[in-house]
Amino acid sequence: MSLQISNLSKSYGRVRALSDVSLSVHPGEVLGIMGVNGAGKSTLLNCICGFATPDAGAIELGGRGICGQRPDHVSRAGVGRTFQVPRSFRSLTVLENLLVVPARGEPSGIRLDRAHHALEKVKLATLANNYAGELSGGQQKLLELARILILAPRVVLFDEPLAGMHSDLCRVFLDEVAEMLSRSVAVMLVCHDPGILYRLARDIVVLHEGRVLSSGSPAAVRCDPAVIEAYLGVQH
Amino acid sequence: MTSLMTGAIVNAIALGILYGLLGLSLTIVYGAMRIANLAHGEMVLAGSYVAYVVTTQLGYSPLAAIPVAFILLFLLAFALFAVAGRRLQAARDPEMASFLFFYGVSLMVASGLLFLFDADARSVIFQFQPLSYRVLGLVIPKARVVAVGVAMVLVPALFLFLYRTTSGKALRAAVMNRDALRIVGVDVERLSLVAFSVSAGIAGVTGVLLALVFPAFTPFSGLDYTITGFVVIVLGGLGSPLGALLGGMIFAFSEQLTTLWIGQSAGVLAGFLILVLVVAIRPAGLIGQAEWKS
Repeated sequence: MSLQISNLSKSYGRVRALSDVSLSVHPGEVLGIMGVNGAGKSTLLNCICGFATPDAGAIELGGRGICGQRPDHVSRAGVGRTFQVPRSFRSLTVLENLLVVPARGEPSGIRLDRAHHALEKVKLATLANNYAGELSGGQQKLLELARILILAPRVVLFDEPLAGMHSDLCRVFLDEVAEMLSRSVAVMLVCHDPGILYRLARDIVVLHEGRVLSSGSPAAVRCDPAVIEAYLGVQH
Repeated sequence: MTSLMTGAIVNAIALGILYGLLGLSLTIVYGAMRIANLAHGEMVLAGSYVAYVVTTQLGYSPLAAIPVAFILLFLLAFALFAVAGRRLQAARDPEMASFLFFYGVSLMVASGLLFLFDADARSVIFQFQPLSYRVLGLVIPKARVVAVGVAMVLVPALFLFLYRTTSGKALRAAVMNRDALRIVGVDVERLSLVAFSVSAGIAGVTGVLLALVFPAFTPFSGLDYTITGFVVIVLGGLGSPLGALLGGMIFAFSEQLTTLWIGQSAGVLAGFLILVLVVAIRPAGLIGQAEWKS
């Protein structure tokens, strides 16, 4: 299922957070989103997920408009998301964090099995009965990833998933992303670190002051003078 | 003195459970929805008036008033929230918007009760058989035993709901992070509607039980219940079910023991003093902070 964004604009008061942004992400591919702080990356994700309502433009999931829909509707339509600062339910156990995901008719036994399986995949099975508040920051990001696995969305939006994560945990995360791609999940990866995006993404979109500064293959983007200037402040 | 002390402790335990129940229903709404329901006391009071009608006017047992109060308050709250809930939660400042809205609702309910029942104090007149029990030299009215008994069934049932069911866990998760709950596909608005209605139903039942314990109530008694409810949940920790129960116990014990040692007028003051101290030292309340950390 593809996610198509066309001419998306969003302002907060007089601040133009997004301006005429168009991009698309397709099954089995990673679309990298790059940009300095304030470039509009989080606003873009918030518009897709329904936390913010765009002023103009369209968001289509598999050809169906989801623009302006509530976050729970967007989630049920097949979009999963993680947050830059992980949002776990700190006084629920790790397992309970997965069990709050609506069952949608799934028998409770199967759901419990899937939750345990998801925890095994992200190497948190031994911590299933610990409170989520006891996990490290990196483990909390893996817990969010486990929630994504339970939801089994068709499109996943990762917001700075590897920031501050230990290299062992990064490997767990990247393995799961690779598996998602093999299942034709479309992945949008917001990341500060160009190195990671150059390695993972098929295409990269660089946002700058709410606009698309550059887009294309990693090789094309890394040589784009506008990107170099925006990142380094000088043109080489 | 010993029997007085025993009596005060027994009273404190009985009131503590009822205050805990009062706080529990309030904290579900405040914690999960960030809605300050200033009409909560009037919902409790409406339950007391249901008990009055069912027992004193219709002659049935107060126990019959329990399901009536629950269903009536549940339905009224459901209708109220269906009309105004989404708008309140979508407001720029939901806490202030709900504060003002429910203040209006509390005045409206009090005026409605005044219109229906006049300003005279009312009480539940029903004679249980036997009228009282004698335990350790203390005479305990059966009405009080019944009220505490029902509360002791309701409180664990509520805890089972909150800690063992998926909906209950989702409600507690909403206290922690509403956005994270939305993004996994939970319809938080619908959850809020159910939580508000259940909270009002429990408030109604609490009103029936309090009517068995306190001798009389008027259309203006609601404010006292609202204040007690907020004191209890702030003491224990906003949004913490366990905290509400603990806060209820502390408030009741301070009230009863201070009344015994100093006098009735100092009873309520002690509870508020403890509240000020707790907020000054642990702003998140006694359990609130611990629960977040755990």
